[in-house]
Amino acid sequence: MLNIVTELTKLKRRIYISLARFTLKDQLVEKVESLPELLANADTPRYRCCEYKEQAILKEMIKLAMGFDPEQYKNMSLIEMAKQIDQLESDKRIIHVLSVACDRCPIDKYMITDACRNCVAHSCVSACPRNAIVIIQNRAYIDQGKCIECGRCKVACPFGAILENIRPCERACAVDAIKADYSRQASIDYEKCIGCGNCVRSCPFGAIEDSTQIIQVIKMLKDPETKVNAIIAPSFIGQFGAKVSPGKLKAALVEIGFSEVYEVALGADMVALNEAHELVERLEKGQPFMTSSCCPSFLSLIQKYFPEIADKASTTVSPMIALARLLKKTDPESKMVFIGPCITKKIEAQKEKDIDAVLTFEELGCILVSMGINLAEYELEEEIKDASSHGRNFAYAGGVANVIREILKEEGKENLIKFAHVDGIVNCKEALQKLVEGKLDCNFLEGMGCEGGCVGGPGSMMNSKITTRLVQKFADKARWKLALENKAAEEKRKSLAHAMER
Amino acid sequence: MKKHLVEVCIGTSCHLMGAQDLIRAVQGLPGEKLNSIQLKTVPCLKSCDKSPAVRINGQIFAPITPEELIKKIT
Repeated sequence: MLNIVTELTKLKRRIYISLARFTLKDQLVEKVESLPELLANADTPRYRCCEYKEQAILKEMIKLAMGFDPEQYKNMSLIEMAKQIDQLESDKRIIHVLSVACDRCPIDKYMITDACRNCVAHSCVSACPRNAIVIIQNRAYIDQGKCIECGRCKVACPFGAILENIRPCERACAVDAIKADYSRQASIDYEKCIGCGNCVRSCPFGAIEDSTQIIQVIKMLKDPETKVNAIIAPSFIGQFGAKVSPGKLKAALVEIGFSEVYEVALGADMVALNEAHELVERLEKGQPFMTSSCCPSFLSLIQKYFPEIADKASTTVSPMIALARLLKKTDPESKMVFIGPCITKKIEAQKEKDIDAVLTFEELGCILVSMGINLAEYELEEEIKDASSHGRNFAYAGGVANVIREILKEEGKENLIKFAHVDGIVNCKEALQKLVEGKLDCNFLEGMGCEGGCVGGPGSMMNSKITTRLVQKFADKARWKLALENKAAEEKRKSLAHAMER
Repeated sequence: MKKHLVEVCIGTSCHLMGAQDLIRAVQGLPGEKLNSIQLKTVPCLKSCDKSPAVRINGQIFAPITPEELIKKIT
């Protein structure tokens, strides 16, 4: 992923920075109502018909950024919501279509373009099972009333003149969870959704967004009574620019009020050890294969679409949960904020009492900017030494399988295992289908919902090719090469015992 | 042809507002054009509230889009 910063992305980030600033200065109630007009007025560039439409969209975006479902609080003003921010029901669904922002893209699935040559063969007409194609003034047209969207005409046309027109959100969703209703408004079927966040990235109108906990996290940080831990996903390396060292980010997190900062890679060390043993145990019991479980979207894909193999997924918790449970065990009063590249972690955290909030790298960046912190000229460094190179390598596709392979190599058991890994939901679906049919020659499948693994997540900010290299470099610098050598991780894993299970 | 000095700010505010895209746009120029440019990154151009910022031959432009930047240096 290149992660190009579009004007839409900039607008969203301006909202985040503004809300963070207001919260810091205790001015949220006073200023939130004027934010839409501040960001969209007669003097700003126009993206929609008029500034009033833009302001209506911004209002929905702000509600979401404040952590609420804009549909649920449709009739509440921003100022009212800001006043009652601690009493309102926080958003549980995370990903939403903003009804005002949805452009209701046309859904005539097939159109004949000017490339039609009105050829003699008229293959399109012959191919159509419904006689929906008519020739008028030397050109073929589709009678949309008759068309059943089978696509045969498109295949038949030797000029490639027939365009298949799918809404970007529908195209982005590999599990068909997005549908347009009779008014062409897109909506998400949450029963089908696996929370991967592809639709959020896909909509060129910015009509699909995820809710944030920016305000809630800043309030936690401001409260002197609350101890807040930051746990940062292994993919954080290089997210704020290749020149910003991991140690600088850790120092900045401490400066803005986090009591402790831990690498989720430590949780990954624990998970790797647990999952390697689980894998051997299950194969020895005669189970034909096991899949990984650390990516919630991949796990959800299995549970919802391949229920026949749901019992073959690893029952080890994700690294985020493993680490959070461990830290809560030693300090039950402390708050746990996960910082990662991930939208689906926001959904996972909803079901898990040990995670108090989730931020994406992008949201954290906005908080840092609101506090006037510039990492590029930051002086302080904090040492980071929680994890082995194994745990740190969880951040990119193939990392988990590789680590489990290395752990079993140490134990002389790697010849039992045939590893495979797959990334991107479409590819995951394909691989799982093959697995079900017995056509995939592997007995351990690592699946990651995002292309390239977590470094390619929707909340990441850098080209994942660059960050993959930086993650590997950082992993090479770890105190231990192997998760096994991270004695602390092994002890902690054993101390958690059943809490390592989903 | 005189060399343009292009300094792209990579401070956190500019990073969030697309500094990487500005760098990519310059690096993507064809060979002979790229040779006439000295591309540098700087940690701050004191224009955080108008990010992203660049300095071209000593003059600061902020905010700037990749398209505008390319127009200014070619």
